[in-house]
Amino acid sequence: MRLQLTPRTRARRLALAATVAAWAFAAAVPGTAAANTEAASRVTLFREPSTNNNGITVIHPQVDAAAGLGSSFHLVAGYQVDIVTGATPVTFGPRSGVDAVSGATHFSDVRHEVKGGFSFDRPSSGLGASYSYGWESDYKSHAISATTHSDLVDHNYTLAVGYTHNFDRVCDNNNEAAGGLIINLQPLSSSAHCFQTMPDVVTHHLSIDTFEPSLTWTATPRLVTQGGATIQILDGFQSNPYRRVLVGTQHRTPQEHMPNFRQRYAAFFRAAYALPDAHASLTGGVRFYRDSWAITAATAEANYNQYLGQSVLLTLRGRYHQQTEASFYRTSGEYQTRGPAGQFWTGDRELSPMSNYLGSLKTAYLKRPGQERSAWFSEIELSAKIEALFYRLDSSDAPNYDRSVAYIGQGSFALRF
Amino acid sequence: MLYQSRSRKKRLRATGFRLQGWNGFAPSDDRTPFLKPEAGSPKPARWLLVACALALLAGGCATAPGLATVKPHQRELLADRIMNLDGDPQERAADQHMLSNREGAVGGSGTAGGGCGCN
Repeated sequence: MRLQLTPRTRARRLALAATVAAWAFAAAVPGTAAANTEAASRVTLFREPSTNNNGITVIHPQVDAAAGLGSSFHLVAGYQVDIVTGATPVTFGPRSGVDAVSGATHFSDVRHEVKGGFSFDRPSSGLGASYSYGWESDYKSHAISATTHSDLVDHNYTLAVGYTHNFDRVCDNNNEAAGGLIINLQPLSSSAHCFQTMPDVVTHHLSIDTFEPSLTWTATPRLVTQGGATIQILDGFQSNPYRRVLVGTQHRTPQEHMPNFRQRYAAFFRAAYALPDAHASLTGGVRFYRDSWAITAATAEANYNQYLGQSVLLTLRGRYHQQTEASFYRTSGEYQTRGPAGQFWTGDRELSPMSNYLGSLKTAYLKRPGQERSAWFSEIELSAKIEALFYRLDSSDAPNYDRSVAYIGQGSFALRF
Repeated sequence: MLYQSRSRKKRLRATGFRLQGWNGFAPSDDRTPFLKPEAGSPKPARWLLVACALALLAGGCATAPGLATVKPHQRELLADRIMNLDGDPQERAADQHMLSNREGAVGGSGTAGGGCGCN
């Protein structure tokens, strides 16, 4: 996750090699697989500046390839990397006053993920399975997924169900010396010894089960709607092993301590409406969320897609999210003056009462050969996207109050045969 | 603070936590409740079960015989990429990866391979 300087050049070389391999795979496959072959690469740059330090920068390259073997069987493979650099306070504490927490720790880390899978599609149904493995210096994750879908009533309905299980492992400081007293828990200082048989670190397990049913309804020739739910159960270590929280008036700064068990529920409704006269469409949806840590949230999103001529597609996107705090969350000032809310404490912005707004503009260039039989591809897509994400926190003592906006840039290139 | 209209205590009870009295761990505030999850698993939220029941009911009613359906020759608009609810899967994965690390909520973005019923 952080605090270990990992060679980023190696990650860049790996990403470049994966890109070349994906494109070579796509170029070689058309001779054996006639249709549904695709290679796509994408790079996302995420920048969250801070008023106090260097903020966070993430470079996220992705490459994916898919190939059809016959008319029903498809293979997919992908590779992605997160190259993260930045600075963040190790201790969550007040920003002003006698016990003000100042200074930030610089960190750099790289997370890799490889995935592979297959799908088998029939005219009215299909099923698929995939596996992914993600690793970084202090976190490893194996995930298996299975999905199935079935069309009903003349293809007017699609019932789909997806299930994913994660077998994750997290590195942590060996807190045997704490003697079972959570106020004595000490954070991990470095990931240098993680996943080795060293006495100063331990490995915790985290299992995640995610179940996602959905029902899609083709309501009219212009309108398609979808409703569904997400149920997720997490069981295991979920704290940030590096983070300290200033708790109480006696200058105690134990490691962040969060519950090991969490149940999360989301229900959503989405729709897409065609505007044929304008060569455009409107898509959007709402999501309602609640979990066993007492967070409730509502999210709304709308997209306007507009063709400009035959080859250019413009997409405008707006999104709003609002949530309440977790039951054990307090501001840094409250943790100090009132103490923790029970046996748990956190400095995580995700668990604070907050809202955010996202605005996005995307342009895609699409090249299709039309009826030319000599064309060796069916579509080339080149796209660029810029986004801004604005955070609104309710207190200057909230986590990451110094980072109120994030900028995201994204570019992609896809070739379909 | 957001959502202050609902009391903290009410929200805690609704989500499987109970208040254990007022003499908890807090070093400086005797009003601090000592929170512990209830023994066993918290029950699923009632509102989610109601939403699922309504969705199933709506789906069942809509699939009743005699209701009009969209014919294959009427699906030209629906087959266009701009009518795909999930958008590009690679872009969707990148967006979800970014947002799930910055919000307390997850999910609600459909099932992979859920389709649009437009084939």
